[in-house]
Amino acid sequence: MYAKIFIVLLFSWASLSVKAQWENQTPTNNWLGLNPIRFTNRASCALDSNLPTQSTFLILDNLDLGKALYRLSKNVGKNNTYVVTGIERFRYTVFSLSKLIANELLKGKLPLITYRPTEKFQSLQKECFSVGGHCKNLDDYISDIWENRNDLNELIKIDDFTNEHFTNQKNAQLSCLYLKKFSPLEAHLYGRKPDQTVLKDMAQAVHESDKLVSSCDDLKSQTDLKSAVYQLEIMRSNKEGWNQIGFNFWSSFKIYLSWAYRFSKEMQSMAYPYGNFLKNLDLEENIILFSNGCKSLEKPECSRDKLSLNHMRFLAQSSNLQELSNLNLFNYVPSDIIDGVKEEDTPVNKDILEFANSNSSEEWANKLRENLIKARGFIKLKISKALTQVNIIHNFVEVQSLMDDMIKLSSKVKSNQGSSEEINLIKQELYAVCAEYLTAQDEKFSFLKKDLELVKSDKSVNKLTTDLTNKNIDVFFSYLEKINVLLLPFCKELESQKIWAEPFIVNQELLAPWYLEYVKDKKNVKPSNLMVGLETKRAPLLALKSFSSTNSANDIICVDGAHCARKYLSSIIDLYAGLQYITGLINLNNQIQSPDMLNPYSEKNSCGVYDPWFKTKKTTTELLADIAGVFTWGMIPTPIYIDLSKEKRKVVSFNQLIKDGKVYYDPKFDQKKIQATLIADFGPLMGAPCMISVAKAPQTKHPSYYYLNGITFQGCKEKEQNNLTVYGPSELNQATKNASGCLSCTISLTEAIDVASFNILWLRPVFFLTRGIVRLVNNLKDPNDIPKSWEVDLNKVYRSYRKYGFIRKDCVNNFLDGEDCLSNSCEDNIADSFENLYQRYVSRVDIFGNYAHVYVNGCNEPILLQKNRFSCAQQIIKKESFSIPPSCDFIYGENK
Amino acid sequence: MRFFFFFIFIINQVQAFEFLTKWNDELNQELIINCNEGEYLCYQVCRQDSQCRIPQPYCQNCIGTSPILGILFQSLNMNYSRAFAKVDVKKFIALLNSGHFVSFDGNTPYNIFDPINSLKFSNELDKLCGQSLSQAIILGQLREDYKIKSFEYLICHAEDGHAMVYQLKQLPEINQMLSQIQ
Repeated sequence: MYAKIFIVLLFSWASLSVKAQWENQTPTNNWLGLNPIRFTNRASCALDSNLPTQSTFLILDNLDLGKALYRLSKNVGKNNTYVVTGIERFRYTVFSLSKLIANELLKGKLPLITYRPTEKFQSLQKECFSVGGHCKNLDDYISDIWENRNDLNELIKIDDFTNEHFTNQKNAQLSCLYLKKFSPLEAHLYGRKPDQTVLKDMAQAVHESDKLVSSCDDLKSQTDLKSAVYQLEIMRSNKEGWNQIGFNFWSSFKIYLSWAYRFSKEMQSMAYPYGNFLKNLDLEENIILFSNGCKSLEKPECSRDKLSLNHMRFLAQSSNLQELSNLNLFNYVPSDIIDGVKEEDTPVNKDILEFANSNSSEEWANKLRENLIKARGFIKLKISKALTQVNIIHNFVEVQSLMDDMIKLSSKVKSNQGSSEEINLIKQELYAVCAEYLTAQDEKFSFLKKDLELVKSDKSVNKLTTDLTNKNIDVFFSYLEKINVLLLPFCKELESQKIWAEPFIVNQELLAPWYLEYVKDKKNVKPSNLMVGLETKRAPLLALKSFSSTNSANDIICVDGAHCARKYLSSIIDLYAGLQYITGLINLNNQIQSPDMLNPYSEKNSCGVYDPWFKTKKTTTELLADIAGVFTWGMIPTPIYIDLSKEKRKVVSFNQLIKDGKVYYDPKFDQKKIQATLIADFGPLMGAPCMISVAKAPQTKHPSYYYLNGITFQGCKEKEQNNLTVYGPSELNQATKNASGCLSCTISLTEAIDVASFNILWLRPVFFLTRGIVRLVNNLKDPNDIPKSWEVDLNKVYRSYRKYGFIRKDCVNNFLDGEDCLSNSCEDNIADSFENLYQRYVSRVDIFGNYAHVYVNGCNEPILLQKNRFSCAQQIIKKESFSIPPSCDFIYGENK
Repeated sequence: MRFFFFFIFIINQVQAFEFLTKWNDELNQELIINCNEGEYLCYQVCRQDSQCRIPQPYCQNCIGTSPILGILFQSLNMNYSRAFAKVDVKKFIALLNSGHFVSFDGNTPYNIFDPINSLKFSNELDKLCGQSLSQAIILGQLREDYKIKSFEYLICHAEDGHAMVYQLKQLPEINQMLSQIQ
């Protein structure tokens, strides 16, 4: 009897307990504070650009600071250790301030100043960003906010802040990781939908995470003195709330960081003893924030500033000098920056920044930094040289004097004074000045003329011009206009006098590089000082004073009137070229930059070039048309029906608009929306194997009638090449509204099936329905253009990997849905709750009848969880429900 | 007597025995003026007879590569020259006492354009001073928000160490041959 009772009890006990040994493995001690990783396809990535990111990379460039610290160390008699420590303090200061500011924002202590910006804030910002910017009042305003951040009553006295300016993300906080190497922890940047292998790689990456990441505070691991890459994660934020405030969070964060780095007392203590020196650093030039994925830090917009900023992506992609020099920004007359956006089929989430090619994150960051320095240096030098040249010529030479000198030169030609070599050089020079000025003015090249007008109205270039020359840019343009007025009639006169008649041959090498590139389409033309050789024949018209002693060509400003005029025009064109990239590369407004490095579809989406919903809309339209077909064409015994196909809208051009001194692009689309093809299938009716279709545009593909892959009409696909397509001549001009149309006839060998389907009436609706379903399935299978995304929780994948020792195939879908995959939901819930609450990985969970044991690496006793303190349903178990043994106090971490 | 010398300085160039820039233990930059007996600039600036140590504020973005710093460190002589007009001592002293100025010498840590041991900027400074003058220092004016507004003065030292202060002109010295056009 007792034996029976004992056996029954034993069985019930066994049935109530789950005590499977976890296969693996001591978990890593490094808790990774990472959000679930979001994998997306192209369309979803484009959509994500409109959402604020919770995960960003932060690149700190230390080279400028290193140089300055080295010189300082010589000044104050210190050694190289002083430089290294200075760089460490700088890094510590930046990420510590970042954490402080982000957490104060998330706790609702600091207001989101960019959210519904108050009038006061807007006017202070305007004052700061205007020409000759005055930012002291803005600095004082932020200082007041900072000092009173713990006192809401004081804050509302400073400005009209309301509850909306303070976030409600009390549980959220910023975590900071130092990134040693890009790895499967960023698997979403390398591919679309993750499979079993990718998930295994991710789990292994977590397991070996000490080789890939470490805490930001771990300064000793950060051995590269040139740069460091960090990953900032906003953890435990409320998703919906975050989407509402995220963009304002980041823009406010950047403003506070810029201010706090220079003026807060916290900075002084973090950077001690280097604070006073470090605050002289142009922080914004040495820091880049960019989203770890497709989401953004700033709301995308189709503006020149934003596109110029996003150009940084190309700098990160260029792995060698040749690739770099091919970038548009290095052209003398770069094409409009918007042209780059029009390119189709840009890859995304395929390691587009080539992380995999670098052995460490710093190696990658250093390559970007080198390219960035080259590009910035190139643009800055180009602009400052151009401004120097126009300033000098404008100041020292009257336009009339230039003209007088050119007239003098031309009279030498007419009267044949001088050697034939000298006469030829003068002719070459006069030809060059006339050709270059006519080109810049000719209506044929109106875009250049129009863009030069844009230079005048651009706020950034105006600000820079005033800073560097103390003059308004208008002054320089009026001078150019005066040259135009006098020079163009002069050139026409020379032409009428046939001074360049045969046997004169233009020496193209003497023409301005911008002209050769723009008109003659010559690539990689070397820079030139535009001299033609006349400087050896006489003293230059304008030279630095030192020229009299050095006689160096470097000290010559310009040789004669024509040379001065040409140099002036070249400088204006350099200003135009520099303008396109000025915001992204020069950062005149001193803001921390956050380009959309990993998402080229951010600008394609905002500029209307890519519509992430197009394929979905097309699928819906076609499905509705097919359903309609079932009830209309399917029921009527006619060989004629209409096939509806939604056509992709294409951007044909962009209008440039200037608003508040910024250039915006407004896309203009073609008019195509839905293309209706009238199809008459005579095959079934007349027994002739021919289907005729009539559409407004030529059919790139034949109507899907014969394209039901693998279902009924597969044989016809092979006959595709037999299509005889006749285009009307008007087709060639697609811009015309009415005339286009095309007629095509497909030779079909599926006549028997067609005849059957059209003669047996009840088969016709079935046919249309089948066609609709097949088309729907095919459309939905599109890997790129139907938005699809998957969120994988790394902790859950790693937990399952620890339990089973591998990634089970049947778990893959769970993980793609962000779910767990342990033996049961109870085990899932206990492990998940413990890990998230204590930020420590469990090594095993044993569930008994009315209690559970949780095991943690380093703790020799089990952590007890009483049954009355938890439920197996998916609800969060409270922190205090876990009884931590006194000997394992370390589990509490800093938060005991 | 001091009033008399002050009057003299207004109509003459500012003279003092020596100007130096130095970084102190708190890593703030100071402009040090050493005056000999009979040189009254020190008294005018800080009411001391032999030395003034004028603290300089921080200089926003001075460790950087902004275009205005590019012009200073990369093409100084193409953009600036020494003006020959007399320096207004009152304005000069006002700048020193304004708490909004910054100094750049040949070894300034703010020069991150040149390789670390390069003498290029130092040579450019000396070139701006002209023959037989060296150890130049440029004084820049800062805006209220401590960003560089302009470069105002050039301090050059003669071979005997004596300092001369010049106003800077935002145009290079030019040799013009316009007469040849006529």
